[in-house]
Amino acid sequence: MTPARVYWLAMILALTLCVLGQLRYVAPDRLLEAFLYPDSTSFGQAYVHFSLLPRMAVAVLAGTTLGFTGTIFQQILKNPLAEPSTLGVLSGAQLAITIVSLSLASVSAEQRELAGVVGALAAVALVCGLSFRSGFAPVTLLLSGMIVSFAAGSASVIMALFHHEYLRSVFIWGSGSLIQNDFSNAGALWWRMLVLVPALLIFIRPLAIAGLDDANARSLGISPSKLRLTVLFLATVLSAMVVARIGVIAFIGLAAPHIARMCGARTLPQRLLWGALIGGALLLLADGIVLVITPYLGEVPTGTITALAGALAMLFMLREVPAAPFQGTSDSALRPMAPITRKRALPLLVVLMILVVGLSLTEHVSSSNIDMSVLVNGRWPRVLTSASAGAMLALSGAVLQAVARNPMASPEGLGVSGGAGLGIIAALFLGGMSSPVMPLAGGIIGALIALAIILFVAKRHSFAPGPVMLAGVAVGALVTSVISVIVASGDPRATYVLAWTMGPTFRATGLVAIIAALIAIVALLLSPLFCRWIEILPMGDSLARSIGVNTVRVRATLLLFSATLTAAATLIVGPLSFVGLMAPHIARMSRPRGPGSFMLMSSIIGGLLMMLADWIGRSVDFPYEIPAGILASFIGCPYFIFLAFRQGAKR
Amino acid sequence: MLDWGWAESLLAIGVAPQSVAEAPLYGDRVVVPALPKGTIDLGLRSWPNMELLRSLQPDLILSQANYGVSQARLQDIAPTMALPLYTAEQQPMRRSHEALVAIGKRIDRSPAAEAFLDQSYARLAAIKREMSAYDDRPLLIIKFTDDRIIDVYGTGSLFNDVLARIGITNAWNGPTNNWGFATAGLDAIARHPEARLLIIEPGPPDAFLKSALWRSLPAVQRGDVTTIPPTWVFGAFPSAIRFADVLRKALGFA
Repeated sequence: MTPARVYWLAMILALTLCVLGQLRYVAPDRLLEAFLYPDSTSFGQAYVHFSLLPRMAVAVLAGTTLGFTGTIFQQILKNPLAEPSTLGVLSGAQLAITIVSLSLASVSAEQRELAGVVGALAAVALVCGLSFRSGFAPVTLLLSGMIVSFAAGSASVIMALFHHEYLRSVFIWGSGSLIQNDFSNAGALWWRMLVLVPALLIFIRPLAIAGLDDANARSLGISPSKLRLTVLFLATVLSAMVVARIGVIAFIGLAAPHIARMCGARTLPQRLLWGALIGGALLLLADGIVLVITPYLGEVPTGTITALAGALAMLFMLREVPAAPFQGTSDSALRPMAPITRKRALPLLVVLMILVVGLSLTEHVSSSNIDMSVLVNGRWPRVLTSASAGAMLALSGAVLQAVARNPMASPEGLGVSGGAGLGIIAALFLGGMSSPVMPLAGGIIGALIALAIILFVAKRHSFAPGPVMLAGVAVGALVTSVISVIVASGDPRATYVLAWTMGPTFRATGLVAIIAALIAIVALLLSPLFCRWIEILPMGDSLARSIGVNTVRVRATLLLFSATLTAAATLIVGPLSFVGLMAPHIARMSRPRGPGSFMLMSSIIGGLLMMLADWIGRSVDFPYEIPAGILASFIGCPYFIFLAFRQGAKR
Repeated sequence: MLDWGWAESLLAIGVAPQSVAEAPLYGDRVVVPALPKGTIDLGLRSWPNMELLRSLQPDLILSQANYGVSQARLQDIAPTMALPLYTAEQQPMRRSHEALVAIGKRIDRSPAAEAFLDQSYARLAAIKREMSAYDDRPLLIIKFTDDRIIDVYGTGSLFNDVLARIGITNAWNGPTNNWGFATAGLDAIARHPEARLLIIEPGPPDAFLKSALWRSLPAVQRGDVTTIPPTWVFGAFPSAIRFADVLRKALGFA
């Protein structure tokens, strides 16, 4: 099928659905009249004219822009999976808009747009800065985008937890509803496209050349980096404007250019044209579906439909990613770096551990009149739980980083956390919140389903780590969209869901704590079995095979091991934390003797970090508690950024 | 006190709670009856600070059943009553009546609770009599979340029960969730052209009220739009009476 045929097919289908939706408000013979000269005393006609027409216009314009910028991002970053959502544009804009909405009494569309553009530029700058040294290698870029999105997302979530009633409109925006009241958004989008699209088109020729390779471009007298920056800036501004005006519409920018390419659009102008047109048709189609199902299912934001379809599409598209994208970065990061000698490291950690446990159990600045025994009795479950969850995540991270041969790998990126989160949410809504059994079961089932999907994807790539992480990103996007739909629904249980997904260690009972501790201990006891594999895998597959290691089976085993640990930990501390990323790095600084002591030290450090997060979380905003999981991710994100920059600087 | 509905119920029978979850926000949302100054903030309603709760050594903890912390864990700290309010049966008014009686009995304030209920029902009956002069237009109770999406209160909401008590029809007969509301676009309003709109403040921005779309709504064309000040939509008995009073005033019964 040619791109043109796909475009017309999608467009005809979309228009049919839209007209079907419109016929619910006006009689067929009055439709044209409603389009052109609506009778202002008939709500049906006014609704078609002032709400549904601009809605179609906005869908086409926004989709076109996203398809267009998506193609540009993919071209300039030479990365088939780059698009506004994977680059952090959406989360950056969302965080900035959340902050503005909280600090101003009322926010105009222009203020919102400005905030969105600033936030998106900051996020993209950060993501590109992080992946610059790797030459925008697909996986590094996406991981950086994921981390920045997580950081911005967790900040938005904390704000939402404490102001969820004020922020409902922000969340409605965030879930990407295309409902319009007049032509103002359509008009604004149209003007912005009229200016920015030609500006970007000027760069088509140099871009096409730069797409070949840097040396080529330089020989033609073009500075590739300046060109990239300019285009990146303009494309970010354009896509951020769409986001700020319309809301979070994920994956159109990913799917449209991909479809265009699949259908035979080869040259850059062809891909830009068809990517943009198909983007518009796709979003209109998604919105047409929403329009038709609304009477039966209630208001579903269009952004949710695209996120859902997009997450599935992304899993499908993983075939495109080269099988071994992790290269180069491993050496410098896996090399020991810091001065603490290994002899002192372990005793030091043990002393620290005792200190933190003791203080965290007995500190009583804000609750002074409780008997010490009562205090300790109430606290030991959460302290033990935090420590165990931290240890599990750290161990999982240590294993994963070795398997992935990439120091940026983290269990949060496996998507198992996200799957568990979805399961917990489903259980809460189906079974109520009175007993902890249902959420626990839901979490395990969700984690297993996510794991199954990921293992399926992984198997097709002979367990290469890159695609596995990307599958995790797709599942994560799905979770985010479900959460934003729940908060937007206004259901009072929303705070509860938000809190749960952020890792409320305060819920931990003695039983949970003991089970968590047992799992952590069993995992630690098992870990020596993996020492040899962990030593061999980072040296490369060919070497491993040459000494008789079945790399596929070894990878599968290790993945299953770390996924199980991640699922268990997620049930306790939520899907966001980054302890699994940080702890192994800190452990590596002390030059561990071998994989065994490396895994042990990672676990101890992970436990320490989580206990600290729990302690800080319950002290800083007393009597309100900040969940340990999300607090840990606050510490984790800057650490990741620091790490990535330092790694870059070493080259 | 982990639920605002129970906090206002307690105040209604003349007892001030020692501590209330999200006490500062209560002032913005429930407004009256106001909490006494110095009421201790317990943290989030869905997620109160257990250590603070323990250190306060309350005589009694009141929570809403199936919301927030489970009764078993609260019971561990102090005697706890987890009373149902918004449930699948969707009868918040009856539940809040039962809760008032139960709370009154538990704290030896039964006479006060009975007196408050009698007085409230008398008030509702009086308003119902006045409402015989009302033009019998059904009401659509809406709250704007932004200028595009609204919450409509129907079966299972406290306000729906109040309307039934004072003999006014609720125009919204569509499905609602456990908490008695449905989320919809503006077209939902137009599906009930005969209804009078009752908007719970804060309403939409002024610019929207001038838009062609808004002005094409049948109710707006007739001028059948009434606003009432912020009233707690997930409240208990006192919120119900307050709603009846502000509604009466909003409909022009001085």
